Amino acid sequence: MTARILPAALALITATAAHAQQDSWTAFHGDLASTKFSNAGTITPETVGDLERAWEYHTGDVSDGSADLPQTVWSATPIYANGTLYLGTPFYRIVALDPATGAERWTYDSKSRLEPLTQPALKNRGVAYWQSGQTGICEKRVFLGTMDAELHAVDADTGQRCADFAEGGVLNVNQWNEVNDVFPFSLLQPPLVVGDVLLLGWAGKDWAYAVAPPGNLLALDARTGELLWDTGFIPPEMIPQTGTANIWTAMTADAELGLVYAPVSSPSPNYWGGDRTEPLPLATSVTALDIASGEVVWTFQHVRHDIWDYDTPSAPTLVDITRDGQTIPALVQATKQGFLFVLDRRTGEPLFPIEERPVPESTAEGEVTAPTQPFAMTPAPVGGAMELPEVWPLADIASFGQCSRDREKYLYQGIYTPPSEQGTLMFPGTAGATNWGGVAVDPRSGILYSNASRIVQLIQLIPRAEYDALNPAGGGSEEGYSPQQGSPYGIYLTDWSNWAGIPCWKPPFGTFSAIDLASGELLYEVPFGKAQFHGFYGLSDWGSPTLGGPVVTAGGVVFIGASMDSRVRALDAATGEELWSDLVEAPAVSIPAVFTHEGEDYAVFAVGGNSILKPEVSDQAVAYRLKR
Amino acid sequence: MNKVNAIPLLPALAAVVLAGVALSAPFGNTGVDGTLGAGLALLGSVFVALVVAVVLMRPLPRGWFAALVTLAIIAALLTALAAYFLMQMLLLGAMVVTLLALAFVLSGHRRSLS
Repeated sequence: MTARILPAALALITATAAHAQQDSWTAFHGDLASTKFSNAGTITPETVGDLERAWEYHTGDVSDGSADLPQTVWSATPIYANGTLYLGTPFYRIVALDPATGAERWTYDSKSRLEPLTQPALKNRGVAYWQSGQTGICEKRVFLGTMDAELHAVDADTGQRCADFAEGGVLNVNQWNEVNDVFPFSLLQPPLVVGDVLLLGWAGKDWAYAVAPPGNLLALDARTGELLWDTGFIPPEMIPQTGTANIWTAMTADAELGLVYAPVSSPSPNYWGGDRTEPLPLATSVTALDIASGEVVWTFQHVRHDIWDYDTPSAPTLVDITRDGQTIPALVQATKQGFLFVLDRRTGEPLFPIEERPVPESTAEGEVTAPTQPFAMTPAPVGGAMELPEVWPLADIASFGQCSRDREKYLYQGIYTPPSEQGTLMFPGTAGATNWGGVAVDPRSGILYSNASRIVQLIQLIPRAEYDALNPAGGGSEEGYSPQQGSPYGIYLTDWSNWAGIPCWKPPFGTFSAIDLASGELLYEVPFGKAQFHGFYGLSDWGSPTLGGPVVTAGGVVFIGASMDSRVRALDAATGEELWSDLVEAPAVSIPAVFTHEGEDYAVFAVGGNSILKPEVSDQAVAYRLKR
Repeated sequence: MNKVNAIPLLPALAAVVLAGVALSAPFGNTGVDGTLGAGLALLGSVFVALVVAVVLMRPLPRGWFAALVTLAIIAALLTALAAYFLMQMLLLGAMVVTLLALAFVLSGHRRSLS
């Protein structure tokens, strides 16, 4: 076991005021630093009971998948900028609303193909906003990506296309998809805007192919759409054998350091790596690149030879830590494994100990697992991710011991147990302890807030001949069968449950935690939300799996949707106690936007649903403010 | 059936309406609309209302009477339990009131028999 640690002494977190003093919500995570901290101060634990719906808006862009259109997954963070609220929709439209009334100001339709070209659903995580600082048409812009790899630029005041951007306001990003182009570069996550530069990743088709487009980060001129640089994450010599290691989620930047922090995903195929045993140092990493040149400045690979699809799911969060009188610009990377890696964002050096621990070996054909993996035990992993939950007696009794028998039958040797033909219990599951919601940090106190899922899944490798004989429908789905074409194995992935669909593992199914980043101490971890099965709600102690993330406010309140039970909630940041909730139409799997408009604080949720949690979908946007 | 005997039927019918609303959400999202759980709650409510109506509206042989009353109580308890886990507190309340009203009427019935 090795340990890498900076000299540790008394540590103190100080405010990163430069990153957090905002009344607007101009980016996916609120600001470039992805703190998800809002200066909204009037909504406090004392006043939160006075929240009311200010307005509700339906985009009309929703499909449950029962008709011609695929199901929609709407995880967009609303953007508040230019005195307007901007929404991207899963039909790839932009809607501009009055933040106080929800009245529609304008809409823009990209007329994108509504086909599941890469993802199994029509997905959108919102829009990006840019302003030049000058006045005139298209000096303020809203950018929207589409499933079919187009980036649209429209004027933020009128919704008219910006003629000077690419071809009449539309950039064909797929023109740079030249290698292993088995699927298009789907632009489901809005670009990150740093100055006049758009930083753009893309989403692909998971689990379908062994060889796929190699992941890259594109930098574009926000005014013209011109490609400034293109940095790849797969070594050129490995491109014939693998692909992806792309950036499908949000990014973070430190404009002062001139660095963008890229959460890089896992390489293809996701659950078998026998054709990519050579090092892929940038895959499943957080990687810092020079915004001016695209040069890789440092990288931290948090999974070696990833065969669990533990891709880096969220933008890292920037916060400054003071140790021994020195301020250290830090970065916190939340992961699917539940680890919170706290690094010096200038160098990538860990600020808390990281242990290289031996992990189990694979017995799959051709597989060569990494002998060790990095474990960050301080701060403690969120959601109790290091220990497989016990068999749930309720589910076991209801299935006459099926869960206990499964526990004996399937392989589990700790986190990083490799996928196997016998079937491996995977905890955390592929949707992760944390996902695109990431974490929130109050820069004044240095306290980090995180929701986490506790889902156990079963992953099974199916030899090619057997898989082909099965010839299952689907592929590139979020669970079930997927082919991993070009590898010796297809896969079967599902939640570990009994015949009745009851989870076989003991609750809680989801938690909410607060961690002091100065000491790494866990301040609290409480069950969060309520699970729901066939309409029946679980007990409060059972919690809920979550997708989406929290926002912490200056008033000491955390706003979060994310749970299965279709509630949006306000929690007491000091204790995690639920202070307020409201029933919405589907799970609000987005990150809320919390901002101040004309002197009043608003929390706005996009309520879209996600089939990973439950089937209900919606097109509802809801705004809350204190009663007048 | 006298007016007193009809008392348990009113909350039982209210429960049917409430369970129907929970399932079909005519006035907006209920959090459980369209779910199996809400469907079961509606079935339970309808069953309770029917049994209560049969028990209280017409004379029955003693054995049938006891069996149906027992069934009504079990169904009402299960429906109330379902309502609790569906977070349909009005439905839960209606079921509890149905049970109390049934107990009240049955205690009067027993007194009149003795």
